[in-house]
Amino acid sequence: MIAGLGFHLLRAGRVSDLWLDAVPTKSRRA
Amino acid sequence: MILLGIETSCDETAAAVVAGGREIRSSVVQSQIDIHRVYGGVVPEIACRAHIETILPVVEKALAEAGTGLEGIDAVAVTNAPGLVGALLVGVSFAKSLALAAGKPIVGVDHVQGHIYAGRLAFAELAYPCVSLVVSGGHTSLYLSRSEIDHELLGSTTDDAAGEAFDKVAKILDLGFPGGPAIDRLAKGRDPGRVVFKRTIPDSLDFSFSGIKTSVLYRVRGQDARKPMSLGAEERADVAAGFQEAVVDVLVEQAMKACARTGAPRISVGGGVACNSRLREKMKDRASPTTPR
Repeated sequence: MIAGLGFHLLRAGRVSDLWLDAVPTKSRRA
Repeated sequence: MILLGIETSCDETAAAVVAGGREIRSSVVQSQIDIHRVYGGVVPEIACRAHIETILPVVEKALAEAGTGLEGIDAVAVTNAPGLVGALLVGVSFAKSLALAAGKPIVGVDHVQGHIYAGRLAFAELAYPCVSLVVSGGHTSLYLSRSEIDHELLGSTTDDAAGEAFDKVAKILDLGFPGGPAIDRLAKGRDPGRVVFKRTIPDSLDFSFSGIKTSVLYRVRGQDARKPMSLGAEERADVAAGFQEAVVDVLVEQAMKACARTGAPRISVGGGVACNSRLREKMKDRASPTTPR
């Protein structure tokens, strides 16, 4: 699903640069 | 256009090669469930270390199964949000290095939108606009989707995600981790009306599951949460069925309300909790040729 959605984002010109950051949010924890 | 996708937002290291946004040439998933089970949930630091160990073999396997090398890939897509920050960092750093070394473009992907896109992967005929319900361990949200990449947030959980509530209730009932499949199995064939939990359905399109979770805790262990679980097998199954029914009712009700308010004629459900058999059953029951499908 990441590669599939990436295809549509790329086609729409939303290419990222190599400064791409990881953006966290609250997620499931033990 | 052929893309290599990389996902490390939580407890699975995954890579896939997809052509034209739909043709899946390979999909490799390395689950960490066995590592985290003993803790009753995902431990972020352990998840990050496991991603570091598995990401290279997983990507190599995905490329090999697709019968290609990096030269056959046009771009790299990677989950960059949302998730556990350390886990995301492993995938993003790896993808950036790969893209730089191979001279390929890179695209950051929001994995919640990926859950929505999974519906499109499974059903090519899924048309827009539609209401997208994302129910997973970390997220419970409703969107109005106008295209594969245009999603307007309508509402989301104000406390626990539905999947998180399933995991926590499974822990209360001593059912182990992950909780969703365990509760689904235990509740199958039971009368969900034997133990009823109050549904929290706000006027908005938001969700709230912490109240149901606490009700289960008090029902099972009383006011002292440290007391061991003492329910018999029958009562435990009834509690599981009653809890599942309450969560599913809220999800279905809010999704139908979103359709009524936006005028969208169909619903797409994504995320891990979309596997829940009762949710699928009730969502289908409420949908018909005259109401959202």
